[in-house]
Amino acid sequence: MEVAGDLDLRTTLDTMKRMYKFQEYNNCLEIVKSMGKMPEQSMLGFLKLVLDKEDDVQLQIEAVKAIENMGEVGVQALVKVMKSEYKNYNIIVRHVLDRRIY
Amino acid sequence: MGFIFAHLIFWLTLVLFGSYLLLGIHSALALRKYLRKNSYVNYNSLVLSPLSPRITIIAPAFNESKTIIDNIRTLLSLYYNNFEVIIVNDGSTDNTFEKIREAYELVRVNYYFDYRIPCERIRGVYKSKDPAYNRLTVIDKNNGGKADSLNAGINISRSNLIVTIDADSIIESDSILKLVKPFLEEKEKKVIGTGGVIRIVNSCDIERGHIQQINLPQKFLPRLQVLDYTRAFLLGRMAWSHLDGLMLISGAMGMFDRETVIRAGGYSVKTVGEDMELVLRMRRYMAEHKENYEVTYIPDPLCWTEVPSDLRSMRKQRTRWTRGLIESLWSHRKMMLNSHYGRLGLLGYPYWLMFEWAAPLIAFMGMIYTVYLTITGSLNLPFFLLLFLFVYSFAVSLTTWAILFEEITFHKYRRKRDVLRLIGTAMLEPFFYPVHTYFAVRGNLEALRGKKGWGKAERSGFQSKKKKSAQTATN
Repeated sequence: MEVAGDLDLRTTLDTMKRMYKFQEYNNCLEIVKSMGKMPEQSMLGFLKLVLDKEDDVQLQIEAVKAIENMGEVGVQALVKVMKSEYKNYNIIVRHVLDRRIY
Repeated sequence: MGFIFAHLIFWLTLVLFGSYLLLGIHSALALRKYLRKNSYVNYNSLVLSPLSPRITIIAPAFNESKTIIDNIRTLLSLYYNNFEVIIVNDGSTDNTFEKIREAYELVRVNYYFDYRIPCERIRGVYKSKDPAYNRLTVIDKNNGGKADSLNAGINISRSNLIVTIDADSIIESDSILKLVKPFLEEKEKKVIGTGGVIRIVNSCDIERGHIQQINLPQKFLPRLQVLDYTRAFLLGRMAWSHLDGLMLISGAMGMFDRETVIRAGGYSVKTVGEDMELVLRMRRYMAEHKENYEVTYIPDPLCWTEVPSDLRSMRKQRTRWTRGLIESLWSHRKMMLNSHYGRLGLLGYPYWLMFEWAAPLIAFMGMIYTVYLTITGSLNLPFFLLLFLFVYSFAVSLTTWAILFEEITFHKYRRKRDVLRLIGTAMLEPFFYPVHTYFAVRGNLEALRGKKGWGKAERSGFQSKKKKSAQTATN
């Protein structure tokens, strides 16, 4: 999964999305990271679901980073997410969008 | 009774020296293998590669205002392309945090993290306004001790690999490259930790956090510790790593797999030997979960640290080490002669129990007994002199062997007179052994009394010797 992201194999995105729920934590993290390396608007819904359903901080941050990497569409989606009253996504999104944080 | 005790001491000494010999042989084999394997390594390819793993360097700092700016500067200029530095201000009561904030233009940021390992409250996470210091993160937290600070750094870290260091150590610029290599090379087992050689920085010329000239310590006590460290690292740990029985990665510098550290529970705040206790706990975790793993050790000098130069400070340090050893061994006594933990349980743990913990106590009893025999006129003088000569010769030979290893490998002390002074110190060192045994006994007594905590370490700082001379001249 890591290599797929490094080699920009976009044909693997749908496969990784299907595999996600059957994988252990480390593999899930690599899937989300790889999606971040290959930004695709079609993965926006999936990544928002990861942000919403997962409790793990690392997964949430990588999902937000992957959304941000989609460019203007991703940033607009994140702004909407920040305004959400459902959960407090403010901190996560501000963390990811803060250029000072490495 | 006296006959039995004398023979017990004699045979114990033989077994001890026999084990040192075996360790020395294993160390020689491991060193030869390492040097052959790494003689043509191109570390630059790792630096240039965009796939090099991200690493977090975590440095706890408590009242380090004298050296903290220089140390951060050294850390930020390490030769590696994908790393971050987390400085954990552990509730310093001096101006450590203010100095860092001013020097690096820190501002508080909204940092999203999880307390995966419990630690004292993190008051704030700070980043620099200057993009040149993008790699630097500073955590300000309530005081909780070194272990607690490391846990806070681990919670904040985002990398798969972490390097834990002492904030007052000077790191070699290519140390990260050398430490990360075993993690990348080993394919069949999971590498969970790597350590390297810690060197002594006393009397070295240092300018702005970098060593300009390596000198042998001028004072006798630090020179003694040079020998101690050389034996421990080049003879001891190299061999134990080769035997898969390594129980300790020095707290001054070590690289770990972050996820394994978290799953094992992070650093323990209940012990002063948190470095050894963590390695034992990680190894136990991996063995109990039946995962194939490795703890490696590289003989490269990675880190330079200041050692005590007076007896009082040395006593505090050594008694703390003894307490840490006892606490770690006691916490993991289940491993003793337990084949479930492999060579660690069958060889490593018993060795440390017998020869690192018990041997100084037995030696102390032997000294008391010798004094008793002398007072009562019962001392078998020829036997005593023979035993003394045997022990002395072996001790000096072993230390000379360690000095030889150092000379044929990394040869940090380039001047002949430094090597000769080291050998001279090796000849005097056995007479200092009673002081070592006193420290060990005192450490045991402190452990029995339930003493906790580190005590205060006196630091002279890394101000350049030349600057110090100039200041003295103008005063």
